Amino acid sequence: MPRRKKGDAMKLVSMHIQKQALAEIDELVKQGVFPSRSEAIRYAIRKLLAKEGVTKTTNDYPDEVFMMGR
Amino acid sequence: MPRTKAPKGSMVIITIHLPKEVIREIEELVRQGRYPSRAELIRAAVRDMLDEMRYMITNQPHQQQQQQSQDPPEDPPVDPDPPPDPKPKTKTEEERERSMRYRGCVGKLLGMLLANLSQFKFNVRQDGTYKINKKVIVRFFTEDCKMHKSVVVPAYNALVRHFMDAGFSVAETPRAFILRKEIEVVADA
Repeated sequence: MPRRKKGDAMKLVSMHIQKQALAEIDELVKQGVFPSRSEAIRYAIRKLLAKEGVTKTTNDYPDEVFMMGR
Repeated sequence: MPRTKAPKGSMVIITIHLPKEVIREIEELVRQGRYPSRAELIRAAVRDMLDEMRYMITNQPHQQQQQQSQDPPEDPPVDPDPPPDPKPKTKTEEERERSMRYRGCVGKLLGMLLANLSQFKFNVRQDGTYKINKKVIVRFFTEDCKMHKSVVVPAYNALVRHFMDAGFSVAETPRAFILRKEIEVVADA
């Protein structure tokens, strides 16, 4: 996943989250699945937004270009 | 979506930086009434993500997948051997060669990863689950294959689809791919 550019506008958001969920996120960070707690939550949000059809992804190269035997 | 009901003291406050664009999209969903609040949407997102990870990493059931299996599929099944595209090819020879080279790279990497999967075992207690750091993949694509940065993401996507074709469930995180081999249960004769 590409890192954000320095100029990207970010906003600080505070919220409550279940301790159990946070502990599980910390465990995933410890196992190296995510680089940080924040990145895990941002990943989760992006996935949900994509599922809801809000986020538009751009892909200049169709996947088929790389598929073998198709 | 109902609000999260958690006993007092089981919640903690966290603070994260989010891109303004993402906040705008979240607020749009809240405005449409699909989520009661911004925080509730984020909690739902975290729950979904943890559910997916639990499914990938441990034996615990994947609630979302179970739910999906009850619902009718939204998209028609993909034909594994689709007929050739009747549209005329407009690619130049150079583009075609590059595409072939990249395709070969994806295949080569897939073969190498499948042959050495045991080195990527995620959890010693859990058979069939593997974690492949993206750094390994990026290094292969950009250094060994001299792939341009702009095509690394679609190359990832192709790799993921190949793993899925090979019978793996795949979860992609910012740092790694988690692969889980679906084990077929064979009834005793």
